[in-house]
Amino acid sequence: MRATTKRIRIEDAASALRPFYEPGDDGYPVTLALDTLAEALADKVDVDPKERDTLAHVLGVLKAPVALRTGVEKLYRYASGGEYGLGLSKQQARAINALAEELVDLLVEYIKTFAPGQRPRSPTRSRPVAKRKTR
Amino acid sequence: MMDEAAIRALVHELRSRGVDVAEIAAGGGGVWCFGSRAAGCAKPESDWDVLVIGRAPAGEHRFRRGRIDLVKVCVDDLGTWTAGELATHVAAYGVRLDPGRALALQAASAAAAPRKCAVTGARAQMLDALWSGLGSSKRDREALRLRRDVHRAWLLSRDRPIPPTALLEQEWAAASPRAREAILKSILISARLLRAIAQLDD
Repeated sequence: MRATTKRIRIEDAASALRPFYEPGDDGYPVTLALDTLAEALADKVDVDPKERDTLAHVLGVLKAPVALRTGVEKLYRYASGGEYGLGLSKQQARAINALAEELVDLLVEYIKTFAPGQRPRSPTRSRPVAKRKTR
Repeated sequence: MMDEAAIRALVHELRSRGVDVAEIAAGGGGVWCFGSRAAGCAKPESDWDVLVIGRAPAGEHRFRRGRIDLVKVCVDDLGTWTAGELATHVAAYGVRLDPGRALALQAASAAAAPRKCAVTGARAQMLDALWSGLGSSKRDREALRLRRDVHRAWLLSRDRPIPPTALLEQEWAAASPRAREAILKSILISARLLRAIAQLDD
């Protein structure tokens, strides 16, 4: 996917993560938006499509800041409360709104600024590569 | 269906995770197992879905305790809750875990249909809006999820309870192409999502 298109998708997904949720709302838009943001990083992290809470997993692999990771985990958890047609509880809607307010711009910034095409550095490559022997 | 031994084991497991079935029943509530485990069509890796209707206000509707997926509803909210899709499922397929019988679960499928149809339609719109940002595996998963949701909404609108997913899949597999088309037409879905759903059956 071209970088510009990807950026638009990130913005589209982020637009569902704004603090406008009310008790009784469906949590699916939150979950789908988070999963779509994870897809924007799919060329950097191998993602198992069956993995639950994909973005939380991806941010973990990328060693994203802890606040982002835990915030995303909480967003998934609160959003799942709206499943089975239950709708979000007052507490869940309030928590999603607070997290959206606090987190989403930082999250989008993090995802956008991640160098395109760059894979996370392998832990085994964290030390400088040994100099080649010269003849 | 779950046998007595399975019920006892689940009750024991719940107690070890802080959910005392007998205490909830004594307080005028009730506890049910639902989903594939209750219907006897579970896979080894399936979760245990448990509904707790209790006196305590439900701060969070749903949370996990290991492999147990708990849904909590407060008795005070029962009036509105019984007009929901989960109530129709539990009333038809759920297995009661507590010995108390003070609380009876009744549900009207047709009453749950309007909300399910509205939520499914909104989900379809959302999915369509983000479709081009999704990879092929994710598209397949979401298309399947949408198809199941549309099918469930269709069942509710015919005053039928929502079956466990495995039974829903069997019903879909047995449906004629014309019946499938009728189900999918019951909710407004974009042409590209309909194509994606059709490709799942190929």
